[in-house]
Amino acid sequence: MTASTPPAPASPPSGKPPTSTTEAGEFSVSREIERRTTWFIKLRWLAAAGVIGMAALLRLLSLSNLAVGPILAFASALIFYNAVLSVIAGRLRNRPVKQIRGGADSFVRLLAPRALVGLGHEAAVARTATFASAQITLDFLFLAVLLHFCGGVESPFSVFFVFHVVLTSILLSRRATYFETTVGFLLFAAVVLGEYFGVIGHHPLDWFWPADAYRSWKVIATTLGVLGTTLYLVSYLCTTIATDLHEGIRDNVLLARQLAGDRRKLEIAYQTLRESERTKSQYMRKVAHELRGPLGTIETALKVVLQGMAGEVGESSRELIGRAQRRAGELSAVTHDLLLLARAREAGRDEQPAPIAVAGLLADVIGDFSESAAAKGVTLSLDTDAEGVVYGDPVAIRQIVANLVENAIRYTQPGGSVTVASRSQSRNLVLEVVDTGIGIGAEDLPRVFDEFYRGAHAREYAAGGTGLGLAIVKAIAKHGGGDVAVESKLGQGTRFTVTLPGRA
Amino acid sequence: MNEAAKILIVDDDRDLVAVLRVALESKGYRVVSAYDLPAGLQVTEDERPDCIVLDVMMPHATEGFHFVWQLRRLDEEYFKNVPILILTAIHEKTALRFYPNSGDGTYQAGEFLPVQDFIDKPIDPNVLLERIDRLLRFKPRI
Repeated sequence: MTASTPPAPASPPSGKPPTSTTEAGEFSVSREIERRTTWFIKLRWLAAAGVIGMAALLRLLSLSNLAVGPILAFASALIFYNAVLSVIAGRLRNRPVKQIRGGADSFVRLLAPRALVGLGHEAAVARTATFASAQITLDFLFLAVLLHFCGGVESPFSVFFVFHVVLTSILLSRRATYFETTVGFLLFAAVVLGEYFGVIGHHPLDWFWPADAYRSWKVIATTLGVLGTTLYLVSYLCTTIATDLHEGIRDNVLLARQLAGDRRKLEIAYQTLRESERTKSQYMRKVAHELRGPLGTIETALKVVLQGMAGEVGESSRELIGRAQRRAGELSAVTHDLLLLARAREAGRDEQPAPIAVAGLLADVIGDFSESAAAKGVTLSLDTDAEGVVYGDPVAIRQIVANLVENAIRYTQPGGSVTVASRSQSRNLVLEVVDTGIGIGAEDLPRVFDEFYRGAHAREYAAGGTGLGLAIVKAIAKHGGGDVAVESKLGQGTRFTVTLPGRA
Repeated sequence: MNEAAKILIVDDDRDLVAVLRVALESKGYRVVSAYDLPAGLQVTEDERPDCIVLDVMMPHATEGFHFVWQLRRLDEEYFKNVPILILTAIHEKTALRFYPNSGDGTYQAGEFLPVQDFIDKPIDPNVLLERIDRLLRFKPRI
C-alpha cells in the first residue's frame, strides 16, 4: 500500500468526487487500485514466454507431436493483444478520471469491491473494475483456446485459471468473482466436452496421457471436479481475504478524513481562542492607556502640592495628600504593568532578532538593583559565562530579568542572597534567578504566573506589588519562543528558570 | 542669570500644564504654554524660550516627534539648539530611539530624535526641575 503520503484533508461529507489537488493521500488509493490492473499485463508477458518456451522444449526433446503452428499463432495473438492492452492501460493511467455518468452507478456496485464503493473514488474504481473484468473474460477465452491446442482435458495449463481467479477476487466484487470463475469453468468444460463429443478436434499430449484419455468420462469428470473445486475454493478464500483488505483500506481512508476534520475543528477553535486573547489584550491596553494620562497628572499634581511648590501645606493636609499620592502611585504602577503585559502579548515577532550579549545585560540589571539590595541587606551576585548570546528584543529580555530580580529582593529576608546565573544549554540560553527568601507554598506555585495573583504568604510578607510582574515575564518569554519555570519550597527560597532561544 | 529663564510647556493635557506651571514658577522660572503643535511652534518663534518641555504623545503617538523635526529644520541657529526635554509614556518602546543623556551632565546627540533629554511620565516635579536646571546650565548642543 502506498501509505507513505500523509493523510489528506477530507473531502466534504456530501460524497462529491474528490479533486486531485486536495486529495493527494486519497488519490493514492485510487492510483493503487488502478496499478493492480497492470498485473494482468505483466502476467500475460510471462504466459506468452512460457507458452513459446514450453512448445520449443517439447519439440526439441521430441517428446510430443504437439501442434506447434497453432500454439505459436496463439502466442503471437497473446503478445499482440497484450501490447494493445498495455497501451490502453498507459492511456487510462495518464488521463484524469472522468465523473461517472448516471446509471453507471449500479454497474459499479455490481463490479467493484463493496468496501471501496462510497469513498468518493467511484470513477477510478469503476474504470479499473471494468477494464479488469474485460481483460479477465478475454483471457479466459484465450486460455480455453490454448487448452484446446495443448491437449484439452489432458492439458496442465488448466491450472492457469487459478491465477485469474486470485486476481479477480482482489480487483472485483465477490459476486463478480464468482461470475468470472463460472465463465472460466464453463469455457473449460465446453472445450473438454466438445472434444469428448467430437464437436471439435483433439490435440493429444501423448507423451504422458493414454491416447484416448480425452474420451474417458472418468478423466473428464475427475478433471472437471478437481478444477471446479479448486477454482471455487480459491474464489472463496481470496475474496474473503480481499474483502478484509478492502475494508482495511476503507477504514484508513475514513479515519484519515475524520482526523483531518477534527484537526480543522481544533484549528478553528485555536484561532478563535487566539483572536479573543488578542481582543482582550487590546482592550486591556486601551483601558490602561486611557487611565495612565489622568493618573499621571493626578500624581504629579499631588507631588507638587506635597512639596510645597503651590504654597504652605498644613500638617493634616500633608498627611491626607500623602495618602492620596501613594494610592495614585499604586494605580499608576498597575497601569504601567498592564501596558507592559499587553505589549508583550501583542508585539509582532521580531523579523530578525538581534544577538544580545547576556553577560553585559545581566551586569546592567544587577547594577540597577545593587542599591536597593544593599539597602535591604541582601547579597546580590552574578554567575555567568561570558559567551552567552540570546536572540530577541533587548528591552524585553531586560524586563524579564529586572522583574525576577526585583521579586527576589522583595521576598528575601535581610542577610539572604539573590543570585543571577546564565548558562548555555544545547541551543538555548538558560537564565536563573535564585533566592534564599520566603519561598512559595505548593498551593500557590501553579498560579504564580497568573495575572494579579499574589499568594497569601507573599501578601503577608510584603505590601505593594501589582501581581503582574511574573505574568509579564511569562508573556515575554513565551512570545520570544522560550518559557519560564519555577521551583520553590516554603521557607527555603525560590528558583526561577527562564529558557530563551539561543539561535535566531 | 540676569533674568529668570523662560520655559515653554507644550502638552495637550491642560491640567498637567497647569500643574507644571506651578512647579516651575515656584522656582522662579517664567512659563509660557501651548496645547497643540502649531501653537507650540508659534510660541517658540514669538517667545524664544530658553527650554521646551514637550509631551511626546500629543495628541497621537508621533505628534511630538514632528514638532521636534519641524523646529530643528527652521533656518536659524536658535531653533537647532534650543534645549528640548520630552515627556514620554514608556520611552523604551517608542518607535524612535533617543539616547541623549549619559547621566553625568554630558550629552550625546540623539541618534534619531534631536532632543537633549527625556523623562518618563508620571512626572516627579523634583526630577523635572533638576533636569531643566541642568539643561539650562550646560546648554548641550545637538
